[in-house]
Amino acid sequence: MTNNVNDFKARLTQAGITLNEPITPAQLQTPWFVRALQAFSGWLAALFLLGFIAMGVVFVAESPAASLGSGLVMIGAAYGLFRKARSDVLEHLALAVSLAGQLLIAWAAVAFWSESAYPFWSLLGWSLLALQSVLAVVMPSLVHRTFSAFSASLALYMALAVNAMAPVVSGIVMLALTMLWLNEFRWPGRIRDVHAWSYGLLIGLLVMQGVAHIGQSFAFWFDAQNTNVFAWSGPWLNAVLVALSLVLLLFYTLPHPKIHWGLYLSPIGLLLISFYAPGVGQGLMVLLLGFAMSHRLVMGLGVFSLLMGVGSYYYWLDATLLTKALTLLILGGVLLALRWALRKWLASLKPTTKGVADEE
Amino acid sequence: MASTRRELISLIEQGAIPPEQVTRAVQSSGLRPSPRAWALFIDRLLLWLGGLALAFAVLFFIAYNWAEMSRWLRFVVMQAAMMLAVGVAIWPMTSQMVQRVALTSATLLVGVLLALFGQVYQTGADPWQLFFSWAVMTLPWVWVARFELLWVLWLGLLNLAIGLYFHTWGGPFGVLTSSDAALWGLFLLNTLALATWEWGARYWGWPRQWAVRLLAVGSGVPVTLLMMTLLVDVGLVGSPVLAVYLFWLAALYGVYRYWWPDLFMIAGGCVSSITVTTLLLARVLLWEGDWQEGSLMLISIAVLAMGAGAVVWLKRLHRELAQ
Repeated sequence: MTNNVNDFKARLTQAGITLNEPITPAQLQTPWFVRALQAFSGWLAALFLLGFIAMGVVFVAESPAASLGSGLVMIGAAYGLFRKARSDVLEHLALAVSLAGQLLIAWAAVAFWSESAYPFWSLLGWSLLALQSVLAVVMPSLVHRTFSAFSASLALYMALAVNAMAPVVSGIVMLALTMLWLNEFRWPGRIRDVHAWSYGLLIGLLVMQGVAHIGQSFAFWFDAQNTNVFAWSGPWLNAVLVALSLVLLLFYTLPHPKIHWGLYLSPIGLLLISFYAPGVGQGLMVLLLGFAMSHRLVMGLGVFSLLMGVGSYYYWLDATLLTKALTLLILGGVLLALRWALRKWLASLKPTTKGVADEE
Repeated sequence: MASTRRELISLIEQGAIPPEQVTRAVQSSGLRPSPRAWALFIDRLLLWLGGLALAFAVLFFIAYNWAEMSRWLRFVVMQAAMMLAVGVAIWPMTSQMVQRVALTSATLLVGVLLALFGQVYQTGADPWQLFFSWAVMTLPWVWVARFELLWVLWLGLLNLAIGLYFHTWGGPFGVLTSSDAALWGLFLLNTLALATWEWGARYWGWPRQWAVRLLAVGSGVPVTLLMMTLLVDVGLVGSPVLAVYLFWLAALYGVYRYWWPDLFMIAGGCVSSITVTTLLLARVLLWEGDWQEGSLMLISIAVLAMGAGAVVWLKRLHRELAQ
């Protein structure tokens, strides 16, 4: 481990980077699954805490104003705890208090918007999106930021699903995710925050894909679906946003002047794939993003998303299985032909890259 | 890849890399893949996507109930596709990666062939025999491919077969009730697979990255569910489930704390214990007692304490293991 670090430092020094003496000691990063455990127990505790509030202090649950007020006070208290928290126990307590506070605010929003003339789910979605976005930025806790980013993506889904624009949300989240990863090192003091938001959005993206996969069981929520005049544009907008994410990725990570022109056609390919099989396009984009960032976990989730996308494609009702089979046959043939052409091109390029063609 | 990322971030956070040089440090750290690495990645991606698209094309084609096409023609198409995949795999000029893609496609196609057989001869919808025969017939290919993804896929098939078998027929073991039999079957299969894989990793150098973790989840989820079922049905009483669960927790801790340190496994054990203990508390305080607000507060505090305790302990272990 120490040798690796020294090799790495030597490489940086060779590249002309002057390394300072460390100002702070090296911090060991908490593994993602420990954070997940923390969030899991925080949620579980928050649910029981909420049960306590609902039973013990009934007037809070019965009055939207009291519910809202207590929710805000609890989130404020959680903020204070997070600021002071120097131990995991306090951080944990703060998380549970904040989650219970958020549930109380959501409860107040449900009571408040249910009497409104506008679509209820849309109003609820927008208000939760605003709340979670603020919390994701403000709360000084990585677990909280991840959770809030995740909830914000689902709230946006809820807000837009009523207008039959749910497919666009995946595209918006994908674009946000790409921009976050591409700017990972832009603010050196906020690298961990960027990671926390990215993980939250990525989990949200996968959950939305899962919801789309089991699809119709949620239709009763959104009775206004398909009545919107812009409904047709949803899948297209999603495809355009996913393709735009690839354009950004190529632009920022491949500034190499000798890039083959064919690569510039890839966003168009991704656009078409994302339109006809949104899950496949999304999975591919996450996979490419993970590779570009050298992030194995993101790559693994990309493969998972890709497999889930292929599964959804089977149940896609707008085309017969015969059409799908022929599409896949042509696609498979084109991809293998592309690979063959790529190897030919690499082999003809120069001796140093020729090795790629033989390497497995 | 992961270590470069970790080292770079660690140096930035320590302030060793001046903020104005971070961009250059990222460029020269090797974190971003080189054009050559991109070429290799795209090469593999195209190969995998192309190979799997062709295999799925056959699957979708067979699933389409085409009245004009006779059953024999369907079998011919199916078997020709399978022979083609196997032919590519055994062709002497084939590289290892192409062989793996071809054998994975061939393994998928065996399932399609069996499904076609079931469709033509009306053997029932997704019976356990289908997945079991699929697993048995493809074992030789999985064996020669020496490829962890294919092994996991194969174990997934066995999981399905065993789950469906016990779900249909109940348990052959006297002590087990039929409703829990599927969970027992999955637990035993995945625990055995996990032990074999770990043994292979220890003595034969098998890769153990994500696959063993997946198997551990496959072992832990059924045993936790069995324990939860016991608590819901009868409460905490002397039962084989309790003994097995406690032994499983102890073995998990012993193996992954001392023999082959792996924090993920221990964290999984913590999640399982927290879930089971919370359910036990809920049973004792809520369903057996009366619903009082104080009980809910008590459970909330208990969950908080367990979660915080687990996180503190895991972080300490993480520091120890990192040294």
